[in-house]
Formats: sequence, structure tokens, C-alpha cells
Amino acid sequence: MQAEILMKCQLKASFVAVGKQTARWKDIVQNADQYVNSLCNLAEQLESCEKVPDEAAFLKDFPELKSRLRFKLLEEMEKILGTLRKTLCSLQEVSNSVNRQYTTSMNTYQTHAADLGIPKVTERSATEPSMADMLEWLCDIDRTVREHYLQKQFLLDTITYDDTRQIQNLHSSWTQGGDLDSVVMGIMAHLQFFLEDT
Amino acid sequence: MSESSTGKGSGKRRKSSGTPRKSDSSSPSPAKSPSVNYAKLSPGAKRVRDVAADWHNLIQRWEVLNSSGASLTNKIVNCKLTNIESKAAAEVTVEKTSAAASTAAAGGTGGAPDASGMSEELGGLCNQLTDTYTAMAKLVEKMEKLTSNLKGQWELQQYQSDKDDSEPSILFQTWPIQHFYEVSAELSEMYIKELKLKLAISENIAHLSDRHTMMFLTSSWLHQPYIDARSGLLLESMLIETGHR
Repeated sequence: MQAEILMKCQLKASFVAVGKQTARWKDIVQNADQYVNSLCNLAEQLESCEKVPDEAAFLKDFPELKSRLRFKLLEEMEKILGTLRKTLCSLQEVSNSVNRQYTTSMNTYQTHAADLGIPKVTERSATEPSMADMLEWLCDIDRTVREHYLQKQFLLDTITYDDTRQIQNLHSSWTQGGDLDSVVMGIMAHLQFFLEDT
Repeated sequence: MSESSTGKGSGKRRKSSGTPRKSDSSSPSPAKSPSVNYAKLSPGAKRVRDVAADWHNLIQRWEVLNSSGASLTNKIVNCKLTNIESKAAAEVTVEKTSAAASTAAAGGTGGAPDASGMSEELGGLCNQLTDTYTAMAKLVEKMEKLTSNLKGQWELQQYQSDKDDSEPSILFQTWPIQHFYEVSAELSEMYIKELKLKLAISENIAHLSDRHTMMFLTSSWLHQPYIDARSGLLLESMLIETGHR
């Protein structure tokens, strides 16, 4: 059936694209790791700067030292946050891309829904999942990617320089998104035969 | 440390070269300078051009020393923190095993083999830090010489223009020599203050025990609070004016 072939082609293309996008996501997050580490480091230095007692002996010779150092540290942190925001833009592109794949597939399905019929759509075989399953998986991946992106956006938006503890914990919060990889890998494992089929 | 002079035709051998180092590929050699024809410069202008190049080289060398000093301060602080932690751990163990024993004595003997090894390492690191500081002090000395060189040239020009009743001449594009001197003096000032700070850090860092204070000193060394962002602007504008960029 024409509609069936169309639908399967569309799904195949979508999953291939989604696979590439999630690999890109992984790369971007890995590259951002060094910046997150630097930010945590600087936050620790800022905390120490704040907590140094003003009566310390050497500070008497350098009255403006604390405020100067604070300025420099904040300047560095601003630079790093700028880089992380650019990273966030790239992640947003990935999220949008995955979303586009999902909506295209859904549109294709809805266009041909009458022709396909529910039995065809839900038919599974040993080597091929059903189209309904695949659409559901696309939806899952889209949702997971979107959630992770929003999480990271929230983390960056709520950073304040006064709360250095929060920044120091940024690293653990940032890397919590590791389970995106396992979700996608699990789904792709089901699709192995389907994608290899020409 | 000394480099041979470039073919300037002045016949003088200088310790530091008159052009920025070849490792800096972004600055053109004198012959290719876009806005300044080196051969047509007056001797005074040539001297000022050399001063600008020397400033660039000195600052590059300072940055290298700063990085090595920063890693040394990190190591010293880590050394001290491990020392403190191991002493604290030894004391805790002693308290647990015998309630009657005096913690000071037992903690001391328990930690003594570690402590002597640690303090040797610490001593070595501190010596290296002092050496780094000494090298930086030499750089600052050279920076001050550059400034006084420019001051001398400015005063000479003033004297000459007083005699001739003429306007102060522009050496390159827009700057009179007074401006070169002012820029150089401002840069020297920053580096002198920074050097004072580094002396204080190198003297105090090994004698502290508070974690925050140690981290404060380490980050003060690394981030150079007395070298403003303006220093980059001043150096670049001096290099652009003299045709090095």
C-alpha cells in the first residue's frame, strides 16, 4: 500500500535524523562540561573571597583587594555564563529539530490515517515494530529532549552570584540529564532491524 | 633570555629585541608594517617603537610566569590542606583508640613521618614560588626602565621644542611622545602594585591554615586584581600606534 510505504519511509527518516540529533546533544553537553566545571571553581573562589576575615594581616596593605578580586571573578563568571547560554541555544536547536521530526511524522500519519486503518498501524512483526509504537517512541524522545532542555534553561536562569552554593552544585544538577542517552539507546535498539531494512 | 637584534642598522646590540617575538604570529615584521614605514622613521621614533615591542614581550613573559606561579600556589595550598587533614585524621584516630593519651604528643608522632616529607615538598614549592616572584620583579624593573626611557625622550623633546619654539611633533600617527610616556607610566603602576601583591602572597601563603584565606590568596595570584582590563587596551593601542599591528 502506498500510504504504508510512505509512512514507513517517513518514520525511518525521522528516526535516523533523531539519532543524529541526540548524538549532537551528547556532544554539546560534553563540551559544556568544562565550562560548568570552571563556573563551579570560580564560585568556590568567590565564596572564599567573601569569607576571608577582614582583619587578616596582609589585607591591611591592600585595602581594595577583596573588591577588586570580586570584580575579576564576576567578570570571568559572566564570560562563562555567556558561553553556556550559547550552548543552551544549540541545545534548543536540537530540541526543535527533534520536535519537527515528530510533528512531520504525526502529520503524515494523520493525512493517511483513513487509508491505513487501525489494524495496519498497530500490526507488529518480529523484525518491525508497529507504526503506532514508533510514533509513540518519537513522542517520548521529543518529550524527554524538551524536558532536559527546559531543565538546563531553568538551572542557568536561576543562577545568582550571591548564592555561590547553588553554583557549586550546578555540576551535579547539570549532569543529571544523563538518562536521555539511555532512553534513546533503548528505543533505537528496538528499531535496529527496521532501520537496516532498505 | 637575550635575543639578537634584528637588522635595524643602528649598530647597537640590545638584550631584548626591538620587535615582538616571532612566536607571536599576529604582529607583522617591521618591513611589512601597514601604516608605518620603519626605514623612514626618525631615531627617536625608532626608539619608541622598540619600547612598544619591549612592553609587549615583557607582558607576555609576565603572563607565562603568572601561570606557573598560579599552579605553584595551587600545589602549595593542596599540600597544606592534605597536611592539615592528615593531622586532623591522626588526632581523631588517637582519640578513638586511647582516651587517656594526650592527643598532641601522639598526633605529633603519628603524623611526624608524613609531616617532614610534606614540609620538604612544601619548602621546595615555596622556593620555586619565590624564584618566580624574583623573575617577575626583574620584569617590573625593566618595565620601569622603559617608562623612564620614554620620560627622558619626552623631556628631551620638550627642551628642544622650547629652544626652537616649535610644536611637539607626532611620531607616528596621532600620539605625541608625552602620551607614550603616560601610557607606559600607567602600565608600570599596575604591574608594580601587582608585584607588591605577589610578594605578600608568596610570603604568606605557606603560613596560613584557614582554607578560605588560602583559596583567596591563590585566586588573587591567578586573577591579578591590580591589572585592569584597561592594560590590554593601553598595550594594544600603543602597538597599533607604532605600527606593530
